[in-house]
Amino acid sequence: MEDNKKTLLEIEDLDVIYQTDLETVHAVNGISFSMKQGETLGLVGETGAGKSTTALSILRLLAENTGKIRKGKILFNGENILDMNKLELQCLRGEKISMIFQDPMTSLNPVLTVGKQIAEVLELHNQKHLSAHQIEERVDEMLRLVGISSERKHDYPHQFSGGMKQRVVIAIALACQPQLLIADEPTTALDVTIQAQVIDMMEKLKSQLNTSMILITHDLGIVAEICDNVAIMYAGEIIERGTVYDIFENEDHHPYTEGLFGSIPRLDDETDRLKPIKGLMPDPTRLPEGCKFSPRCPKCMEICKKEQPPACRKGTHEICCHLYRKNDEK
Amino acid sequence: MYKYVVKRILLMIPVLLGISFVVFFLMDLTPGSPADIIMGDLATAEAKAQLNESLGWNQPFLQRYVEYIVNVFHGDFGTSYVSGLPVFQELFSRFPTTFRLALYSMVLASLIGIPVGIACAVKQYSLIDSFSTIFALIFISIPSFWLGLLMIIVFSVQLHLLPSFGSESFAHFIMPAITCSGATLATLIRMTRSTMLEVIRQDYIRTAYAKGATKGRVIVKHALQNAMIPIITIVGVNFGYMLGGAVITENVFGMSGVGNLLLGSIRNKDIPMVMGGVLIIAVMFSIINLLLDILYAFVDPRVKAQYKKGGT
Repeated sequence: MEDNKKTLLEIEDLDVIYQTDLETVHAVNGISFSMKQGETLGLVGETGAGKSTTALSILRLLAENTGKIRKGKILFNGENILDMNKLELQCLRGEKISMIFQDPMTSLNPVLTVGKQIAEVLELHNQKHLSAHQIEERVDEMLRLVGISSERKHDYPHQFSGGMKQRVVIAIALACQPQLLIADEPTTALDVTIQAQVIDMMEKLKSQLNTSMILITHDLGIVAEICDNVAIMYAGEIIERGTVYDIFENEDHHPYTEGLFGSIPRLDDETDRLKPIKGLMPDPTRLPEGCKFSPRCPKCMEICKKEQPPACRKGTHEICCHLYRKNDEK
Repeated sequence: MYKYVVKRILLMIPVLLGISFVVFFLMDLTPGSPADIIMGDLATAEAKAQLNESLGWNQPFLQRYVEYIVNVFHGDFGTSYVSGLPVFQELFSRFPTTFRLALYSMVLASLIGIPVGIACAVKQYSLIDSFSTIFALIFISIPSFWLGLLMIIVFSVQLHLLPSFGSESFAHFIMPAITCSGATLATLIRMTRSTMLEVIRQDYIRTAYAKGATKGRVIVKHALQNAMIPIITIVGVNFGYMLGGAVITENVFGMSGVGNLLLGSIRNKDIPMVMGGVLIIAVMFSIINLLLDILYAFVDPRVKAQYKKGGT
């Protein structure tokens, strides 16, 4: 990775809540990160850590009535997405930033043929003024690219298997050659063999088209395979970040990251039970004071319950934990 | 698909036989004989007995039923006891009125109900949403005869704008159509709203927004077709009901439709007329249902796939 590459996306102090009459859910609490062109960033964390909310915020697709971005900036090529009007957002969505959703079974419209659904994104962002015929050709090309015969473009989503549907979703996402692709748990709904195929394909297409990618997942194996940088999220905060080497090779980790790695079953380990992280994610309507992980943390100290841990940097590796404070001060 | 349609048409035969049997039986249970109706109170008992004999009234119930059905299959629906005219001719002279009333009511209900329902879903909890909820509640609660009478008082008696009686011109149909469509309109608003609300929360709607589509495009192109099945069901079924004659509305506005005819025939124990009317209503209803099922296939490709597999 060259350092002189342009910064593509920069998120500063993003804070998102879901507000209903009954309660306020603090989904994302002041996260910041940036990514460069061509980079793949893995956002890792449990269900409810705020990964998808972060992704949806980038495209401003949060539920209209409840989701609110309270503060922060999302700069895409230097422009703040949060300041954009409807028209600018429409130009952004699908063309410059596109998204692959979690469940391919439900993310395609059941009453339109897959060909039409791919063509739609091309028609919406038809800046090269392609003719209808050229768009059809491009649809065929996209289908072939994701490994589906172009004859099947007249078929409806229900005629495809889960893996095939996800390929169609990927074809839609990549049709306009976006600068940034957000993949929100693209393989969670698929079985393992299909997962591998889809991940391989995404990896290949990404390098072919030189697209940057935010990969949201809770599968650390996939992260190790294709991410350049990793950010680990917990209760709406990034608690550890670094290059894929920092996260997978380094000794020092946030206790939560250790827990995540510890909970992966190992082939060479003869234990009968899995080792989960004890406890549950804190209730996002009533987050604990101090470190959000402190109630579940095996290394919890007095200070953790009172004070928000600072970010401790060591090269590219950053951990938000009181344990590493001394290291940082040295 | 073709096979499916043929199968459904064949299935209509047992349905119609069942309905005709039940109605024939019920009519038989009512007191009085045909001759009482045809000849009136002044005729002698002898003459009545003779007429009943010639009409086949003295034969056992089952034999009469079978004879009637055989005649129907030959295209003979009998003659009305009251008017002496062929049943078929009587019914079909009335049918255009009923059909026009049903058509106008449904067009009116759809043209208002569907767009309002969509607007309510798109702008949930807005002013239009609350307003139309109240409006729908009022319309579904008002008895249609009362609404009809009220309109006659206002528009015919006081303002002299619309005719209160008859079915000759388009103006004659305005008030009946409004009366008839009230309940359907209310149901349609509520149903369109709730299905649209369900659909616009689906993942594929978010996908459409993520492609950069405008809100209008998402609603029209992606959401509406998915919400269409419950909507066309309501329109179709209510259309079917109305083809059977909107009895109350036809009565209030003195229209010579099938509903009015049927009501009179039941009172007079005009068996051939009642049978003919009921059979026509049953046929219309079955056809409308079949058309609806065919329409589903065009709206939702998944339904079409089922038909192709030969499922029901």
